[in-house]
Amino acid sequence: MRVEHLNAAQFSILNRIVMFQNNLKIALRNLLRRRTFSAINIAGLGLGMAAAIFAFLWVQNEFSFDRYHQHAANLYRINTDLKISPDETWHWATTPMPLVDVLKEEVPEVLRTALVFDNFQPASLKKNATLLRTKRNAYVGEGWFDLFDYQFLSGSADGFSENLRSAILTRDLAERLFGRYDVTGETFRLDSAEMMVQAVVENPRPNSSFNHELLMPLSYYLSNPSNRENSETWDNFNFVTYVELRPGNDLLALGKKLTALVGKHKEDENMSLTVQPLAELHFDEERSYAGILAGSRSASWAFAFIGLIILFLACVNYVSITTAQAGMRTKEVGVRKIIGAGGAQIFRLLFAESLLTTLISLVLALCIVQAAMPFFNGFTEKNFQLDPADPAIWWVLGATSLATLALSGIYPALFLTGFSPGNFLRGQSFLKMKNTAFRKGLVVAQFAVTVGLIIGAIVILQQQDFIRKKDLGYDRSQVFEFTVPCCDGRVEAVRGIKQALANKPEVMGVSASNMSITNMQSTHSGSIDYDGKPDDFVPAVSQASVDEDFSELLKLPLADGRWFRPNNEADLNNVLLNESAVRLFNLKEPVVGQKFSFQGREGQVIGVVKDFNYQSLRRKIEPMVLSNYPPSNGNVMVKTAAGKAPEAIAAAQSEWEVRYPDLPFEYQFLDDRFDALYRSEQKNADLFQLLAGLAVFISCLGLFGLAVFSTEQRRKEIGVRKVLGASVTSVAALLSKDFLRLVILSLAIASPLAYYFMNKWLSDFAYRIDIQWWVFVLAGVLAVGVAFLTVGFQSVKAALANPVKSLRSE
Amino acid sequence: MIKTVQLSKIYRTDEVETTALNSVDIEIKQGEFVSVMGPSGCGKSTLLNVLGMIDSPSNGEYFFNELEVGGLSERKRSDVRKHNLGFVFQSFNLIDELTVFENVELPMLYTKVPANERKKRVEELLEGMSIMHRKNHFPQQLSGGQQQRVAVARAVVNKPKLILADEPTGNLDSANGDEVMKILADLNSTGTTILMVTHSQYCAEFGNRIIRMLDGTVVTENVVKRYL
Repeated sequence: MRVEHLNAAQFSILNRIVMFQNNLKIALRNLLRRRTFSAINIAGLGLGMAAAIFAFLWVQNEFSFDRYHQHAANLYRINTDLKISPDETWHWATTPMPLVDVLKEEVPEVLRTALVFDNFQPASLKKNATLLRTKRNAYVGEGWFDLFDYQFLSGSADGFSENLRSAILTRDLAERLFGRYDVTGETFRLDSAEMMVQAVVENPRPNSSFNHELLMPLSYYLSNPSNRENSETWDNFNFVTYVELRPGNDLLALGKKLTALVGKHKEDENMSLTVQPLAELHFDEERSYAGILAGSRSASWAFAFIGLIILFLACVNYVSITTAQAGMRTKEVGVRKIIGAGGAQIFRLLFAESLLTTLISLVLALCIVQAAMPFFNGFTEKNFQLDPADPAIWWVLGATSLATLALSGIYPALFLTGFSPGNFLRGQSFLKMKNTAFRKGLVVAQFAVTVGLIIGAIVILQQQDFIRKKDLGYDRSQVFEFTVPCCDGRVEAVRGIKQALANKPEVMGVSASNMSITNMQSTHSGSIDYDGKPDDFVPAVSQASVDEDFSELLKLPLADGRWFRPNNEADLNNVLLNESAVRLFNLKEPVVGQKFSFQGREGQVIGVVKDFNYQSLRRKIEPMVLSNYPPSNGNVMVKTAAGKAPEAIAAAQSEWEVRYPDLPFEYQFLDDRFDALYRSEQKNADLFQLLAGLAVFISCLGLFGLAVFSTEQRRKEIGVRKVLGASVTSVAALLSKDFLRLVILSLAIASPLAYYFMNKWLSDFAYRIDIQWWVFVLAGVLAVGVAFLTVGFQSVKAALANPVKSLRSE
Repeated sequence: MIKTVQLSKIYRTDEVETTALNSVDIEIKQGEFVSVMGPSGCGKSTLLNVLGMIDSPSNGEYFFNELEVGGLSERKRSDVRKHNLGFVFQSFNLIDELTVFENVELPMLYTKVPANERKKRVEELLEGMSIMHRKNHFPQQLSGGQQQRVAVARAVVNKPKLILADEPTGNLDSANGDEVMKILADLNSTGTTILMVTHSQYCAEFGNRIIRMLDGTVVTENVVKRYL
C-alpha cells in the first residue's frame, strides 16, 4: 500500500514505527560512541540481571511446587493432627493405611486415592560390580501414576502393582547403576532381592516434592507378613494418603467428616484429620518429614529481595552514569527541541537507549546465567535449566527486563526531557542543573547496601569460625563412624567388629552408640521416675544409648560417679545424666546412687557427665539421659592413631566386608558430620560472600564511571590549578575527596542497620559471637580502600595530565 | 508577520537580575530580510530566542501572524515553531550522532512528513547546496562551510515562513560566509522572511533593514542603502 493511501490512524502508526527505528539507530550510535560508559553500564546491568534471574528462577520454582501435575488442582493430602496436651499438637503428614479403604467406600467426594510409604532406610543396589545406595526410595500403591505425572523414558507403569519385584528408576539412578538409562527389563539386586526394571522415568523436576530415585510397588512391601501386620492397623501412622477430589469441596467440612468417619474405627478424641491442597505441601514446615523437605516462604522472599537489591545496585550505576553524562547531550536535546520535538518524543528517544542497553545486558546476563548454572544447581541441589520451551523462563526473563527498564530507564529519560532549549542556547548545560545531590544520594544508597553486605559477610564468617572452634565438651578429632544395619545379629556384629579393631595398632579406640554424637535428636518423656519426682511433673529429655567405651573414646569428662562398665549386667538398667538433667530433676544429694526408672528399666544414676553439645549450636544443651541398650547401638565410632586413618578405615572395611558383602561400606568422620550440621549456615555464608563481592564490584563499576566523568568535567579546573602550582598529590586528593566522603557517609548509614539485622540473625544461635566494633571499621576500611583504588587511579591520571592540553582544548 | 509591543526579558539568578530586553517594539513584514546588530550582550540573541519562541518574554506582547504567542505554553510554542520557523546558528548545532541526511530530515520527522516525500526534499536541498556527495557523512567529517550549508538545509526543509539566523557566518571564513549569505539572500528572494543577528556590517547589508540594539533596547532602525 502506498503512503498516500493510508488513513490518518495508519499513517500515525507508520510514523511511530519509523520514529522508533530511528530512535533505536541513534541509541546504538550513542552506545558505540561512548564505549567506556556503555561497557560499564552493560557489564553492571548484565551481572545484576543475572543475579536477579537466578533469584527469580528460585522463587518461581518455590512457588510452583507440585503444580505441574495435570490433576494438581484437585489433588490433596490427608493429614493427621494429634493433640497430646492442652498446649501441644503434633502435626503429621502420615495416616494409618486402613484410611484409604474408608475413603474409597464411604466418601463420595473422593474420586481416586494413592498411598505412598517412604522408606527412610537407604536401599543398597547392586548390578555386577556396581554397588550403590539410593538417596530416597518409596513404595507406592495402586493409582499413584494415575494421580501424579511422570515422564516415562522407557517402559510404563502398567501392571506395576501386580509385578511385586518390579522397580521404576529415575534416569540418573539408572545411569549410575547400569551406565545407561534404556534398561527396562533388566535386573539388579536390592539388598538381597532380585528386582526387575519396569520403567525408567525422567529425573524429578526441581519443583517436585516427590524426588524419589526408586519406586517399588506397595504390594511388594506388604508381601512381607510383618510389614502387612504393622500396616493394617489403625494405630500406626506410616503412610501418606493422597486423594483426587471432585471439584468444589469445603475442605474444612470434609476434614471434619473424615475425622468422624475415622472415629468409628479408631476411638481417639484427640485425633483429627485435615485435607491439604497439593500445592500447599511445599511450604508446610510443620509437617515436613524426611520424605518431603519443606521450603521456606521467608527464605524465598529473602532470596528475591537480595536479587532485586543487586539489580538495584546495577540500575543505580546506569542512572547515575547516564544523568552524569547528560551534559554531553545538552546540544542534542536542545536542538531537537528547537526544531520541534515534543517532550514525549525526546523521552522515547532516550528511553530507546535504555531499552537497547537493557536488551544487550539481557543477552550478557543470559550468557552469565548459562555459564554459572552448574554452580547454581550445585548450590541449590536442584536441576535448573534455561529451557526456552518452559513458559516460566519467559516470565522470569520478562520480569527481570521490565524491572531493569523501569528502574534504570525512566528517570534519566525524564531528567533529560525536562531540559529547556533556551538554557541550551544561553550556553547552559544539564550539569548546571541541580542533579548532583540526587546522584550523590544514589552513590550513598549503593555503598550503604554494599557496606551492609560486607558487614553481614564478616559477621557470618566469624560465627562460622566460632562454631567450628567452639569446645563442644568432647574430642571429635580423628574419629570416623559407620552404621551396622538393623536388626538381626547386630549386637554380635558390633561386638565382633569392636573386638577385631581394638587390637589393631592403627586404632586407638572403638565405641558404639545409637546415634552420632554430633546430632543426637531423640527426645523422650513419660517413663521417667525417681524419688521425689512431683506427680504432675512430666519432664521431656534428650536420650541416647551409648556403650562402655563412649566416654573414653570421646574424652567426655565426668562431673561425678562413674561410666558404664563392660559386662556389668546391672548397667543395662542404670543411667548417666548430664548436668542440665540433674538441675531439671532437682535430685536429692548425693545424685549418684539415686534410684532412677527409665523406659521401663529400673536402675540407678551411676554418674553425672559434664554438659556437652550433642546438637547444632543453634540449640542450648538440654537435659539428657544416657543409657546403654546394646540392641540400639549400631553406630560404631573408631578413633584412629595419628596419621593412620587410611589403615584404620581399611581395617574397618575388611571387617565390614566379612559380615556384609552385599552392602557398601560407608563411613564419615565426625568432623565432616559436624560440618554438615552447619551446611545451611555455610551456604548462607557462601551466598553472602558472593553477593557482597558482586555488590562491591558493581558499585565500584559505577564509582569508576562517575570518577571518569567527574575528572573529564574538571579538566579545565585541574589545568588551571596545576598552572597555578598545585602538586599532583593535592589534585588527586581533591578529586578523590568527594567520593570518599560519600563512601564514609554510607558507612554511617549502613552500620546501625547491619548491626540490627545481623544481631537478629545471631539470636537464632544459642551459642553466638557478639558483634565487635572493629567489624564496622574493617568493613569501612575495605569499602574506602576499594573506592579509593577505583577513584584514585582516575584522579592521579587526571592530575598527571599536561595542563596545556586541557586548557587549549577549552 | 511579527509585531512586538513593549517586549521585555529579565533573567534572574539568586542575587542578580539582568534585563536582557527592555520594552522592545519592532515589526517585521512578510518577505523582509532584517539584520540585527549591536555589541556583545546587547540582547540580540535574546531577542532572536524570544521571537523564535524558544524563550518566553517576561513582559509585553508578541504577535506572530497576528496570534499572541508570548503567553503560550511550551507545548503550543513548540507546535507553532516546528511548522513555521527555521533556525541557523553560529555553531551550526548539527546533531553529531546523525548523518548529514538524517540531520536535514529530522524536522520533517517531527512534522510527520511521509518517508518518500522526506527523501525527495532532503535530496533536492542537498543537491542545491552541493553537498549531496556527503549525505552519509557525520557532521564532524565536514568542513565548517559544509556544516553550515547542512544547517541551512535543515532550517528550510519544512518550508518555514521565517528563518532565524544567529551569526550564521561567525564561525566561517569569508568565502564560506559569502556562500551562506548568498543562500539566505536567495531564500529571501523566493519569499522567506529572514531575521538575522550579526556582528558584521557586510553581512547585515545583505538584508533590507538593519535594527541596531544597545543594552536591551532598539536604538535605530535603518533601511539598507541600496533599498533607499
